[in-house]
Amino acid sequence: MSENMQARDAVLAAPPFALNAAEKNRLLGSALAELTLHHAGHCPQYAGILAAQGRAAPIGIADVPFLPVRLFKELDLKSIPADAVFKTLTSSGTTGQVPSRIYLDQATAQAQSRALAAITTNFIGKDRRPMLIIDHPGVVRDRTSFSARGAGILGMMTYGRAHIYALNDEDMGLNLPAITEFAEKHAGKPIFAFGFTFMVWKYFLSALERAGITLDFPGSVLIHSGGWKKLEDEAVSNEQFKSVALERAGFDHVHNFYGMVEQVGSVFMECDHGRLHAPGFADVIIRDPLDWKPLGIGQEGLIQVVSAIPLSYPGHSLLTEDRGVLTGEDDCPCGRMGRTFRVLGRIPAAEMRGCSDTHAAAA
Amino acid sequence: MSIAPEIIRQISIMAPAGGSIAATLAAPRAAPFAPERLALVDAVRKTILADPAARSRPEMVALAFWARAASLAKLAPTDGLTRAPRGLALHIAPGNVDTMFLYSALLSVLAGNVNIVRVSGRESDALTLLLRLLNEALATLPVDVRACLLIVRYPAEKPINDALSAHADVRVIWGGDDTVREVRASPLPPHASELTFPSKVSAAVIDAAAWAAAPDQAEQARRFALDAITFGQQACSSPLALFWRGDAASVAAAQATFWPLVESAIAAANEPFAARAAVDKLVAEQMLAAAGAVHHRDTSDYRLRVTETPDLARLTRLASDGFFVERRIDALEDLARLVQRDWQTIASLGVSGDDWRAMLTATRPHGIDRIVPFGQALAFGHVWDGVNLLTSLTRIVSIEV
Repeated sequence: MSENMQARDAVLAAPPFALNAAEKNRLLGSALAELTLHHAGHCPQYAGILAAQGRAAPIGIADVPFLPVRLFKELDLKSIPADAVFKTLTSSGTTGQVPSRIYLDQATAQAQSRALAAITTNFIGKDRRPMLIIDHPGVVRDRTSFSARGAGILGMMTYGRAHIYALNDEDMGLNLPAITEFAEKHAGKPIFAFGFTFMVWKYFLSALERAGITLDFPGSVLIHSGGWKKLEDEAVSNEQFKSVALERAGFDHVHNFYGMVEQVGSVFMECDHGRLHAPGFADVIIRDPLDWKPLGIGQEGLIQVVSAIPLSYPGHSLLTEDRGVLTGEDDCPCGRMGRTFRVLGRIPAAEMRGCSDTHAAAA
Repeated sequence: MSIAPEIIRQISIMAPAGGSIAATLAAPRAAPFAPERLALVDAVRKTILADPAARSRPEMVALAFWARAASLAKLAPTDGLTRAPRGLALHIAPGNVDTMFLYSALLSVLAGNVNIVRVSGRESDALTLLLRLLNEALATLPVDVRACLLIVRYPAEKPINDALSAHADVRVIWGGDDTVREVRASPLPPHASELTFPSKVSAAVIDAAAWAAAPDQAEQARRFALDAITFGQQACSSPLALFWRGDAASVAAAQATFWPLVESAIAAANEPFAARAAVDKLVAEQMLAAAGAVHHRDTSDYRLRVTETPDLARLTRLASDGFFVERRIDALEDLARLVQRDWQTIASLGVSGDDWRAMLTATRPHGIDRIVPFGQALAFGHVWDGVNLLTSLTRIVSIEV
């Protein structure tokens, strides 16, 4: 990149939960302004969208124009020539829906991995632990076209070692021989488990309960994501999920995270106090759908996410179709700086989105 | 020929209470405008007017107004020809505009046909209300009279459509291209006819000079707003675009006074606001901006959004609940180049009927079914999408002796 991306470089290099509100608004605000200029110069559709809004250049985080995430289903948006596309991510969606198409170049993919590493290691530590992938191996088999689930798993695999898959390809049943061998080998040691919320609940925790199996990995961490929609339909709360994860598998740190394929790397991880945290290079703004003005702490609205990562596509500022509420800023008892929030679910009649793909929908 | 029990089991009878497919198939036909058929329509009208919830909904009041004896009497043909009902009419009602199906069903009742009406499986307050009112109205009528109008709900599956279509003498399909395609897969008997009302789009036209001179601007803006937001702008007849006739300066001046009045009218209507609709509008305006140079008009909030586009290529339903595209034209002939086959209603302000006739004669556009004043876009007529429903729902018996 020939452009000046000093602020973006700086905010991506900063420790993920160190910036206070004032520092962050200055540094991330500048980074997002750089990205807005960059995309306006490289993505003609984005330039058209900005021109029609006729707004002044952004100066703070909340001033950055935003695109609704659905635009990535309707349009092919990228800020790189076709031959620089390194990898294309597609979103989940129910059958018959057009998925989002997110075009990555190497620089963006690299920034995603680094960002994800900074956040993940902040929660699980720098040492690589034995890793239990709560999915079936088939989900990552086709490496040219990743599903959101496959991409998520491949991204997380970096932070573990001696990986095994907990489920069988054929029927999503527990792969008991593999799990048993893994449990014996790493008995009593902290491990790292990752999976998509619905898969973890339905095919792992519920299956362990049904089979009457209890695993013991004290001090272990389970990270999961993909949305609560299907679990809410089964009336499973976050608290219930956590307590079953502790009883059945000894996962005493369970971190749900909020993220989307349109901003991979920018994850909002839940801390031990149950709050989702915005890292320094990303942020969350809650907006009133009536006029899209930003709302304050405690006021429910639509979630906008911003991130300094996306260089290859104009996705640095996105309006989601999820409702949420800010719970605080720079004041979480866990000590991490930045805004915290809760996700309240999709706006009514929204198309099915999120990270778990169609298998779970059909299951 | 009867309908198999496993098909019957899947059909829920919504009205009248105690009604059945068998009773309706056996119900007597009537002469067009027979007294008992007029009585049925009148019972529906009275029930609507007696119900406070129905009276508070403009589309219900419009239906009751249409069903007055005086307005129905005007529908009776005066050409002296002898008309007979066609027989069994199968109506597939649309999902988005709840009252629309009732107009065509009631016209078919007047025509003397026996009717089975499939209503949408989608729940809505308006549909629930209508079904309750229909039940009340039909309950006041003799059993053999009420059997001529059976409202049903069933899964949109081919075997059921097949079974009912096999009995139909005429089939009326509302509800868009996909529904028409789906229902058409079920064959009709050779003699049966079919009326289809596929997806349509509509627009409005204002002459900028006429607007500037209009003495009742606020009222005209209110009518435009109602045309647009009733049924959430999702009816075939709801205007999606506004074309301004005039030079650039007078159009700009007219826009500056028109939209704020529309905005006030929409605010006054106080319809519930949905975040989903706001997101749809944002997506729509950004898609337009991504495709070409456009201008988003400043509005105070997302109840109303307007995007001005110099070269609207194709009129499509991009969003609803108060989303418009607008552009300027020099003359109606410019509009003719844009008209597509699926254009239905033009709500027209300040453009004379003679201007429209001249344009239609000179350019013969493929679409445009009706041109109406503001406030009338959603007013149902027995001529719809270019078809005289009453004529099509009866047959003419030639008597030449």
